[in-house]
Amino acid sequence: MIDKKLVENVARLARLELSDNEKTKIQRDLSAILDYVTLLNEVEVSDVKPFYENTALFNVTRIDDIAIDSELTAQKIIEQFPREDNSYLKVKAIL
Amino acid sequence: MELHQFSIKQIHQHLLQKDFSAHELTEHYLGIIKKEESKIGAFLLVSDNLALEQADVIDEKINQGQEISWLAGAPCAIKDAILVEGQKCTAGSRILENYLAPYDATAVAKLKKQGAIILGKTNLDEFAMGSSTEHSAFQITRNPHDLARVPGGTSGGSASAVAANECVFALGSDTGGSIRQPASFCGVVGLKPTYGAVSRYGLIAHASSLDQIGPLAKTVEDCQIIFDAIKGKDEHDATSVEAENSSVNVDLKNVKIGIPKEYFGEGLEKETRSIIEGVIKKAEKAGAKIQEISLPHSKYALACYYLVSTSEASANLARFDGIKYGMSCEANDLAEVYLKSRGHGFGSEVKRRIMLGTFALSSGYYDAFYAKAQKVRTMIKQDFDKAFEQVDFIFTPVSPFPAFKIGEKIDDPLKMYLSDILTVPISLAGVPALSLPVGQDGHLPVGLQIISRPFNEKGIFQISQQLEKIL
Repeated sequence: MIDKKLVENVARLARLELSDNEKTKIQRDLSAILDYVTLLNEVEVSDVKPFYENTALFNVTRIDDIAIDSELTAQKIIEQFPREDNSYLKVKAIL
Repeated sequence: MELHQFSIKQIHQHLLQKDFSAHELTEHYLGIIKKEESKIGAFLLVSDNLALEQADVIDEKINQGQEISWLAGAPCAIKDAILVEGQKCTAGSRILENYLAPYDATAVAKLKKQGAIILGKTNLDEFAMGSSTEHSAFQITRNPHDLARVPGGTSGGSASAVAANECVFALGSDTGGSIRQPASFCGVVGLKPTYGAVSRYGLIAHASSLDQIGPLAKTVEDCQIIFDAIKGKDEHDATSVEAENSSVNVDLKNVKIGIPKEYFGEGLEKETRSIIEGVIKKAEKAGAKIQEISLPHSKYALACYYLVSTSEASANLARFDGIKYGMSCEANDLAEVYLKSRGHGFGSEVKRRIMLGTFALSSGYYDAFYAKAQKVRTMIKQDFDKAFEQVDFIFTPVSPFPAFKIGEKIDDPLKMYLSDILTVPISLAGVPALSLPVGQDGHLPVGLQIISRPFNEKGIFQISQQLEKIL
């Protein structure tokens, strides 16, 4: 079911660079795991609703306001940027 | 009695009587850490200075005659997937090796407010994915009962730190058994609260519909004090709720305990079975009504879990992109930054799960895998709903076997996943469960899993404390 092409396609979707060795291993592991999960085919679910939430909460909202310590937190978050220019997050050009 | 043998309440009493200071107690624990860590490897970070500063604040309060909370001065450890402001938080991953937490997780903020002393951060499987703590990118943690064996996982650092007397208690997190299974392997008490009982704010997300923070400690009483301190609704976690605390006291004498036959089948080791059956007999002798029940969809839980949790994980871990924080590899264009940073930053188990989850959510496979698993999850939840119409508690083993050898399962992911077979159904249903040490297979601890209705943690604590006395 899982061939190398499928592994490469999923890796591209997941934005994961994999070595050839890793591809082979993941192909083998995913095949074994997917074989195991076909167990679920035994269960009749045509009338069953998919599971959504455990706590029966619905549309939890809050006021869109700024926390008092946000400037300090912002500074700490900026300090984590791998590449920064004058408090701006620097990324490679997209085009 | 040695300082590290005191419970949280005893520590509180002794601090008030000035038998010892919070500073002395903290130094005692730091001394044990210094002595034991080369063997155990539970900690990724020990923050001596910060801990002693926190202790001095408590001592000052006591000297001034101010009131202090139960947890004031109690030294603890925090799983390294939970943020402590200003400290590194790695989630056991290279991709976050140098990440500094910009704020406190709500559970940590609540502990700090009560005056608990944070000694450091404990080891885990990378992004809390594993069952043995061997998937940490940084180090192996050993089981204090047998150094050749794993402590369980993913909160293996927290469990072994408690078991090795390196702290009074620890916080862990549980997605499919990550508090209960290491608690069982290390012979300590561990609680996975009801989904929503404790805020997940500041817990690095693995699978958001399953993750819960909970306590690991030496006694049920300690666990309850910690749980009471960290639980409750939090505006930063929309799924957290303020649970009603039932005022009804439960007594082993008049409770109904369900024994699900599916949990005592193939794969359960003989000695583990006989220990658990022994406890059930003792509970019956104490007056509990024992009833065989069925949770018919149990055999599908593991397959369901590994589709649901990996799907959620693949979405949650998309944030580690080499752009905003964490490891970032040099590259020629933006796409290559993503590919290289994630390719180099994540370990093998995390990659495997991201791949499985991405596959289960991808076009053409979604209905057959993710959607199907979510429907099976509904049926697993209904099994528990029906069971709790008949019984008050469910008793099962936590793990089909005691702690296994380091390296024994590391090369076979499916074999490793099977370690979680008795804990994942509870996570899928979102109900609370506690791992209680009830015996030993040779020198290896065995835990009983006590499960109850949503938000009946108090009932679980009461039953567990009564069991502690008769074992």
